[in-house]
Amino acid sequence: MPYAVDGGVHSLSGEALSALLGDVLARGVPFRFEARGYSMFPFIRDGDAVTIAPLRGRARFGEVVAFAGPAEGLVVHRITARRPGVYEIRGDYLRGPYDIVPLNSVLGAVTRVERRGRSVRLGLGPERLLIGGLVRLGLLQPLVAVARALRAPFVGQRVLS
Amino acid sequence: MSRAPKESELAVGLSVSRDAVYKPSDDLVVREIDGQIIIVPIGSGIGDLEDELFALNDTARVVWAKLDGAHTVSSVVDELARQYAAPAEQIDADVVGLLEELLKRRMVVAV
Repeated sequence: MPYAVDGGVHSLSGEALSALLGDVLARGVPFRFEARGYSMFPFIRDGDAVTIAPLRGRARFGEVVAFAGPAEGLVVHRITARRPGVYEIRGDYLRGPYDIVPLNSVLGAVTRVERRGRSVRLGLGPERLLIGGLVRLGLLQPLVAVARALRAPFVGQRVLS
Repeated sequence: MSRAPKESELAVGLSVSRDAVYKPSDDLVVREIDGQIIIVPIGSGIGDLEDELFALNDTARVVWAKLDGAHTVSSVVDELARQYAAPAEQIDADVVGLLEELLKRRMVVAV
């Protein structure tokens, strides 16, 4: 084909995604893309469609935000604290150090998560305050792991009567 | 190498006129990434990489660069015919074909 406007799936690097996100948000328009990875499990899962909107003022505690990470490119994690000039940001399902992100490096906030065509609200409403606290204390990941372990024996089993 | 367009060629397909001047729509985010032109339409109120992410191939990229809101389609074809060793008819077909597609997707507007 001599000319092409290819609307197919493109594999963009995290850095490229971050740049596009910045461009789109700078126009005051939300940005929707497919999230990859497991760091925000269970609230955002690999393959979920995530919508990020421009920030109105400063991001708040517990909000899930996007920023350009030093190595991975675009990162979508939760704010777990705000200190002078910076946010502490961490993935819900991560253990280890926080990212220290300058206030103006946060590109936007997650406003919508879709999974298999359905909107997933849990983790973005007022409950974000509790989740943010649990993540900050390092308690969410163990709690989720325990919940999964307790649920696992029953998943996929048929109830026979 | 150029040729005068025939009357029947002045309007083709999605009303691409060779006398018209086109430019990229304002409702686009355009960025060059790794040598590729990536286009994200935002006219619907969202930049949606899930549904609408476009990349131009090499030929389309050359034509895209000429859609500056100052040159007619005919002059773009003439200029490309001078730059590239390809039959003017082929270049004409490529430019018109691309413009049809861009118009269909509302990625260019007539000035």
